[in-house]
Amino acid sequence: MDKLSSLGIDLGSILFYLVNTGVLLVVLTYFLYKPLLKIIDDRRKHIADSIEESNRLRSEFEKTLDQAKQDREASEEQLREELARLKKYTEEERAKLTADMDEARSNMLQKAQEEIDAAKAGLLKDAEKDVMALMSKIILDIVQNKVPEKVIQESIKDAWKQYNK
Amino acid sequence: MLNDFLTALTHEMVRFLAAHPDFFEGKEDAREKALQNVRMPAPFKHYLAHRKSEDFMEDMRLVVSYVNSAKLAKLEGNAFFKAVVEFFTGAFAAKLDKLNSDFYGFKEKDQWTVVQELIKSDSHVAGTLRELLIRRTYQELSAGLVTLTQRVVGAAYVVVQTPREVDSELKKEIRHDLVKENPLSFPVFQINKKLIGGIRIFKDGDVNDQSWVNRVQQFISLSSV
Repeated sequence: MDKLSSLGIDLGSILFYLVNTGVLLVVLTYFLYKPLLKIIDDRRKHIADSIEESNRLRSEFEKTLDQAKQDREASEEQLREELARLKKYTEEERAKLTADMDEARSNMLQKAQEEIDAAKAGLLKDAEKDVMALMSKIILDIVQNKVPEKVIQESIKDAWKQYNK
Repeated sequence: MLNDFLTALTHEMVRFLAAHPDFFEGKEDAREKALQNVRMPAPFKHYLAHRKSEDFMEDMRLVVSYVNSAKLAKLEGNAFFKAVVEFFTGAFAAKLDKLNSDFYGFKEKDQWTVVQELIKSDSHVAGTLRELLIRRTYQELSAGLVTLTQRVVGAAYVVVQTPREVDSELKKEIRHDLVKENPLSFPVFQINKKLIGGIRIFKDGDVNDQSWVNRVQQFISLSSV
């Protein structure tokens, strides 16, 4: 013990120091270490939650993105179909209009041709009528004045025979 | 127009009946025998031979009514007027057809000569017929006779058109055939120079056109088709 004292070591002080240190450790553990651990745990949990939330959001975003992509593709498909239908309809309408126009043009041409033919026929008929009237006049004039009496009498007899048949 | 003829005829009939007071009491063959030497056209002899006395009296009343007012008398179906129509569309028409159109241009004296030759009998009835032929034109006679036939028997109105005067033989043939076809009708002959040749026959509005002008027109209309 003396020896320890000669070396300047005091057992009491050492005990004191040990108690003091133990108290300090208890105080520190209770007031500093535990709240710090709690903070650290909370922080870790917060970070884990954030990561999890972030993953969930990412997943949802990806899902939404996929859905949006699908929707867009569907819309694009629909649009393509609509465009195809529109194109087909337009083609059909154009063909129909073209046919109608062709028919109308054909009708107009036919009508015009008919009018031309009718006018031509009318002119020809008028001319024929004039010629026939002239022929009739000439024939009747010749026949009226040149037929001998005997022939006329014969014609009466023949006509009567014809009537009696 | 027929008053003189009807008067003379009834006079002739009454004179005959006065001479034969029991005429209507005899049978038809006895009556026909009694009428044999009477100067009367055949249709009237036939009429008298087959008519009862009471009907004859009715007929005489109708004749008087006709003489007084020709338009009002109801002649339809009457036996006496049927005999008149039969006579005028038969024997009288045949005499009329023998007169050509020149006859109506003759002087009266010449006309009398022609008519005397045509109707030789010297009976009073024949005299009225000669008067008819002299005093009336062909148009007047034919129009009057057509009206009479239509009133008595509803006969067809037949017109025969020719470009020239038809000779009497052909006229006779035409009339005979047309009357056979249309009993008791009085075919009227007309000259229509526009026909040129052939014949055109109208019958109650229907026309059978065998004329040359019709053929020429048909030819021209066919040529223009």
